Amino acid sequence: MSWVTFSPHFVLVSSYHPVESLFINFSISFYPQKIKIFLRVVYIAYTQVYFAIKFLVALVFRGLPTEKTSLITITINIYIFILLYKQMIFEFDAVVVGGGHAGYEAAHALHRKGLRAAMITLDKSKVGQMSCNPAIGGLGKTHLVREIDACGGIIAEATDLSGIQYRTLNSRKGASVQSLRTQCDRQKFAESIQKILQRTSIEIFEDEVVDLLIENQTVFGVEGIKRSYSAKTVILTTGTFLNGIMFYGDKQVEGGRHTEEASKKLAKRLSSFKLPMGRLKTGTPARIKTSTIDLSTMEEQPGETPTPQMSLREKAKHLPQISCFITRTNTKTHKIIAKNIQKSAMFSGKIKGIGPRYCPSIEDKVAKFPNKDSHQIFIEPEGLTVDLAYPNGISSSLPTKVQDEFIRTIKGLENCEITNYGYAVEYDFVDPRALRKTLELKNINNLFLAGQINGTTGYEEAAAQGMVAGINAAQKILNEEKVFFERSNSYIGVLVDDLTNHGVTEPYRMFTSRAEHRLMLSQDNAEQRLTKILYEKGFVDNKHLESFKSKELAYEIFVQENHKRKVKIGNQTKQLQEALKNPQINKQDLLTQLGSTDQTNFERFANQKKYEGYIKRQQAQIEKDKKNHKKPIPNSLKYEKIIGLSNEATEKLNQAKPETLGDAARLEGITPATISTISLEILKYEKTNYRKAKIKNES
Amino acid sequence: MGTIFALATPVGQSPICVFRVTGQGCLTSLHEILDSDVDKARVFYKRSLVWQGSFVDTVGLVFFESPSSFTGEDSFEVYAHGSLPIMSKIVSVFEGCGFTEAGPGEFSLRAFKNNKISLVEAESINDLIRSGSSNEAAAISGVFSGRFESQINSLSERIDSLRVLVEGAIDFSDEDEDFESHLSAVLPELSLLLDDLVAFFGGFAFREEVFSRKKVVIVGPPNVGKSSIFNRLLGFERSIVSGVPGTTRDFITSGFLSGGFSFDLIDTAGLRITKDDIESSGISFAKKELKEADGVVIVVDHKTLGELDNLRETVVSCGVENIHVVLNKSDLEKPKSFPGHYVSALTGENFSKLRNALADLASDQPLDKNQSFLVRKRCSFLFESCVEHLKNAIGKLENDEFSEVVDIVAEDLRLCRSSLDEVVGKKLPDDVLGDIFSTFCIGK
Ligand SMILES: Cc1cc2nc3c(=O)[nH]c(=O)nc-3n(C[C@H](O)[C@H](O)[C@H](O)COP(=O)(O)OP(=O)(O)OC[C@H]3O[C@@H](n4cnc5c(N)ncnc54)[C@H](O)[C@@H]3O)c2cc1C
Ligand SMILES: Nc1nc2c(ncn2[C@@H]2O[C@H](COP(=O)(O)OP(=O)(O)O)[C@@H](O)[C@H]2O)c(=O)[nH]1
Repeated sequence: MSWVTFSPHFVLVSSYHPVESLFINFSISFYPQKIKIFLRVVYIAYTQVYFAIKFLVALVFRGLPTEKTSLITITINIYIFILLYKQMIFEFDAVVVGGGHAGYEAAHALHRKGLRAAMITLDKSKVGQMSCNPAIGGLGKTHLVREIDACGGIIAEATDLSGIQYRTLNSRKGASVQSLRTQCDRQKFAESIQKILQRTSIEIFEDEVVDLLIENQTVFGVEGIKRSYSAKTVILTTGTFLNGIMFYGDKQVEGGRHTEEASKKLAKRLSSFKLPMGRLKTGTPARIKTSTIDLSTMEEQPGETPTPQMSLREKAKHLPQISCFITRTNTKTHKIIAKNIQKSAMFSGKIKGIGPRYCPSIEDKVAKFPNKDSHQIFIEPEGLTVDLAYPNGISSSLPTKVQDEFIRTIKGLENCEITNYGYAVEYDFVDPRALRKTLELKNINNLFLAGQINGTTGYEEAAAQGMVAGINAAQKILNEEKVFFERSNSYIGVLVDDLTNHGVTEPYRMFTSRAEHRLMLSQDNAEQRLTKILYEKGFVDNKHLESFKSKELAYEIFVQENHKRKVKIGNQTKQLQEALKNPQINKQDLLTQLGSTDQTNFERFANQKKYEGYIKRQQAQIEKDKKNHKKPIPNSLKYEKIIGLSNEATEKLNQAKPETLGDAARLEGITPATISTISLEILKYEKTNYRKAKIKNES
Repeated sequence: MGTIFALATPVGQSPICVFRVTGQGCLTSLHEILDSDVDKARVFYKRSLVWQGSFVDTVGLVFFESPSSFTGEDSFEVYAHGSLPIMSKIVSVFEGCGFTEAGPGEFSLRAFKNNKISLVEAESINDLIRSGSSNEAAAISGVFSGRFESQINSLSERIDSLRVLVEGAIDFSDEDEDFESHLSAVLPELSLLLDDLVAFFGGFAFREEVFSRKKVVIVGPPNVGKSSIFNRLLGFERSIVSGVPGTTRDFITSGFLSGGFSFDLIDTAGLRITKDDIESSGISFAKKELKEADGVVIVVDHKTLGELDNLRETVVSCGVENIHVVLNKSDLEKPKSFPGHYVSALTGENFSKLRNALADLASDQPLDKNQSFLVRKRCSFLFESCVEHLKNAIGKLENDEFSEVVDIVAEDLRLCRSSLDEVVGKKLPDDVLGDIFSTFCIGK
């Protein structure tokens, strides 16, 4: 066994050899894939194994004549050759291209299902790298992270292993819109991901993928610079690397991230598939040496105590916690920016890609809101051991000299030392409407896309898609049922549905207002919504399920014991379940009256009561939809005759010929309104048929 | 979608009749059926309509190019002489071109699909066509003129601008922008909005209440001419469109204009109703139709005169009060005395009397002067839910700390907004996030 996992790394990673590359370069266009692989294996066996065995045989059978030792050598060689064949040819269940947030969740999902996955990435040491700000979570984003966690994913665990400041946003608002945000030690986060991956069977290769191997609209592997990898499914998670160009003011550099090369060949190959593609941009601020910042002039923002945790399952052992700081730009800053604004890559017209409106550069903010004479900046530590801070709020693509100048006008940054300058990056993305709801491309079988390549932005959004793609790739390989996330059970469902139905007009980021079932989807109930479902599909292990079940049991017991207990409100006595319906009650007081310390279950019960009416209404609707979704669509139903269906919807339905309303609902571009229209039509259709049949019977 | 055509004027002798044709690419057929080409849209041409070398009629013709037409597709209209033989000739010309006859409301359907009109407009067009009384038509045209939709739009916009504040306070609470300070504006504006909404709804009359259609059922033994009477009452020679008369064995429901009122006629063609049948369950469907009818026309001819009493008894036993007895085929034999109408579906004798007698069935409740829009009942549920949600939101805001209930208020506003969308039947663009970004400085 150790041979097996060891060999590819030892023999093959190190065996990048001119002769081999000749095979590859020569063979790409001339030989069928199998022959190419075979030749490569022969070559490797010959160079690496043959000599080693020969030496050993000669050593062991010192007395025998050379003809005999050669025979033994060859026999052993053939035996080992056959033994290793499977491993040598790099035959995987799945190849994940990219080691970003989409990549690691995709690979890990495949691993959870016991499949053999390879991760190919440009730089092994950057697996799990946070390319922008060192924080996980935020409004809507935390929901995604907790959902991934509830499905067995790893992003939340890595967050807790590296979290150095935790704060709950909207802590005074309702439970469904609260979000925990975690500042991470950037280095620690990537290390944690890498450590978690090391514990799995996932094989990581350092290579650049330049081509996809495709036959009959079906992908069967990828071509790297070093070698090719064959796989039943391929998941592309290449982030901002496709034709990435970085802009530092008037300077342009090709690349996907600071100091990293862009992926041009792969981009070219993808565009040859006639996929709908576009260009987006995003930006990042300069990095500053913390030791050169005068933090004493800034407002301190400490983390929350007691320190909460991101993962709902693993009990975290926290790193030491530290604070963030807040400072502001001023009129002087704005003057410098305004004077130089034409030099910004954004304004000079060099960047054609569309940037996110909610993540504007500082020059954007100054230009669009000239009346505001100050903008807030968070000084976020990059880690416990590095002397580096991330100034959140001054992302910029101004020339480095201008950045130097305006940053030093900011209070506390007067004498700061800048280590890296801010830049904007422009990159290709694939219009996600080309994807199914499993994130598989519609026109190329077994090829999945996830992450920023689909026009999203953010680690959480990327990770969520990675998991969806990984899960569905696994299901496809094993010929098991697809796993759909619904808008009504998760933000992941909202994300996938929005992307595949509506595409993107700017980098897509999650917000709670995107979820119409928001009141039902809180960051705290992710496990209640998903864990059991994903356990049944085989992506959640027994241990996780057991811990979830015991939490549920504890809650049930809490409710059983307490819901009818009498509590005092003013001079009235009420049952707890009644008392909680009044939002004005003092919850802490109630908890004391109950003599309980079980804050978690108490909060859960209180929320259940507070939102009861709304949730019941939504639940009833969801149940109705579910029932409705089982309804078969009569073959003879003519979509073009239905009033209320757009031509696009009609076309899609005619193409896909869904058998039930549920199948129709899962089609990309089919909205709930369309479904209810069709459903009404089926009712009408059934009625007339019933009448007709009746008349026939009677006459 | 293929090309469809329909006669836009009622079938019957009249100076002119108008056919409408619509379908992408239908204009290419024009040079096949006209003696010389037409080149400009929206211009009235006089041409000869010819088919396979032979002259059909001298016609007027106007064409419209996509998307500048009612349906949004290429369309044309033909003005021909209003005689039945010419009409049926034109129908066969169109069929020869591969056009198919339009189903009810199909023109509006296409206009709706091509985003030329909204659902309420589509509905009101159908109502307008079927409306009898003039004040009803005026109220409907209030909807059709777009006045209705523009009012809904402005209500939606006001809700959206509140949602910008509320959603902003939720999704961007960690931003520099102090959304909470804007929230004090929400409650007063909500109360205003509620008042305006209620006032707007006060101007509605519901079609179903103001003007419920009367249902008239025709019964009689086979071959007495029920279908023929039905067709003539409708002023609609079905032979033009559906081939051989008297063969329809389905129930046909159709609008009927008479004296400015509308009816549904149900032709229980070929169903012989005896007392036995009524009592046996096999016929319960016809019985049910009779029970629901506001009036029944019993048709007999001379040969079946003997069955009349039996039939009448059956009908009365179903609780029908308004019964008209008709003796058909008066062209063959004139009765000496008959306790009812005697008519001829063939010649049309005495049909105006029959029509008037039936018109008495309908009683139109006049519209209230203040009611400016006539809408369908489905809207009333939607408006009720709008009001309920607004009231709910106001109640929460009055009694509780804003931040405690902001998510619930947001939900009520969202639901209110989506009910308004449902009224017009299309999702009005709601870019709350976009509005937040353009109004406030968001982002780090
Ligand atoms: C400059 C910049 C600014 C950003 N700003 C923000 C922001 O303000 N807010 C925000 O929410 N998000 C921001 N992001 C986005 C966030 O970092 C990404 O959305 C997220 O990391 C995407 O994850 P991913 O898995 O899709 O891709 P990435 O994390 O980018 O990973 C891509 C992976 O693919 C590998 N790869 C690429 N090409 C190949 C190839 N041909 N062969 C093999 N491997 C390949 C790379 O090595 C890498 O491991 C920013 C990103 C960048 C680069
Ligand atoms: N002479 C004459 N024939 C009629 C008249 N009305 C109907 N008919 C004929 O009677 C036959 C039966 O008519 P139809 O309408 O199909 O009767 P239904 O079975 O009661 O619907 C057809 O051949 C008609 O042409 C009429 O007023 N005069």
